[in-house]
Amino acid sequence: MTYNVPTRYEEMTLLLKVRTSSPESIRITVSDAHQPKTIFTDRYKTVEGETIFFVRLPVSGQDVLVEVYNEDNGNLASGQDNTFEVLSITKEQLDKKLDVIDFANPLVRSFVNFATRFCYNAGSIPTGTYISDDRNFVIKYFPIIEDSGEEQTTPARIDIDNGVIEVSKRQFQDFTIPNRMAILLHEFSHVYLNEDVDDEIEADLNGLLIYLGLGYPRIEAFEVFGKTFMNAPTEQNKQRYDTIRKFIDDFETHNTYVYE
Amino acid sequence: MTKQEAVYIGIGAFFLLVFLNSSKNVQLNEVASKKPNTLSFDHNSLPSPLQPPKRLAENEPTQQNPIRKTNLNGVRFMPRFE
Repeated sequence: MTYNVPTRYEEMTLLLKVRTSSPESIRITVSDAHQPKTIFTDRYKTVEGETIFFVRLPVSGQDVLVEVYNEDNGNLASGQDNTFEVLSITKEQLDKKLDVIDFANPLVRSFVNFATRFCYNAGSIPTGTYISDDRNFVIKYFPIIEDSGEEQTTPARIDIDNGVIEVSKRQFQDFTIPNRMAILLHEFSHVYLNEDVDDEIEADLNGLLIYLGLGYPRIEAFEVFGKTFMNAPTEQNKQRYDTIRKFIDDFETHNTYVYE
Repeated sequence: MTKQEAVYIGIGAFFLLVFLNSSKNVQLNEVASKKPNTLSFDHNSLPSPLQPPKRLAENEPTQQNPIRKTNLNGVRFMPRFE
């Protein structure tokens, strides 16, 4: 089932109430109704009985398309799939924690603005060099990231000498907007927030603090780091994943983790 | 109605309005197409906080500002109170 929901570019949380009579794998996608390759969330959950999907939307389009379907059956029109029922879709206020973000730092303010605009449009803009209004940040949007003619698995990387971020369009265009934000904030943190520019875990947590404070979905952060780490399943990446999980759990319970 | 009652009614109406506006049920409007209708899409129609950032022309110099850290993490010699 696909529903059109007017969102008027507002920030909000969408609550989707779904009911099943037996355990079913229900997938939810929320995408822009007009702009290509602009996905706000793409997730699934095994539902038995009634459940509510909370979809945080710090950014949204004029209208969004909400797809809800049983993964076993695919997206069918209502009446053709009796394995689940969409009971309601409700809009609520977005819960943000802006006080955890150092907005007194003009670089953070500027980068959040720049990254939001880039991430929202990354599926529909051409490759090339993009620059922030204050000329502090540059993103080189390449078809792929390569070294010595070989494509790299990383979706993005930053040059620690000049702060230029390289992004792979092949990977980025299929990511959700929250996935894109989590990655760019990680790269930004390496150079502009970290005490040690090479410390991956410090960059993860500095980036995540901004990401979570802005109200982006928690599940998408797990997902993007999981995807990236699966491409390079090292012991360090396993440790990073565990640290990220603990950080997000602590953030939710108001025990903001201080990185040391 | 006394002045005190009017104040209580006003406060009650305020909280009722806050409660009623805190969540809005969306009328379920099912559509046939599962893909976005991109025919009329134009980046210029987006509000300014969502418009794409400036794209440089092919040979335009970047002229990026040098990296400057304005947070305390960039200060090497700062008092430690721990």
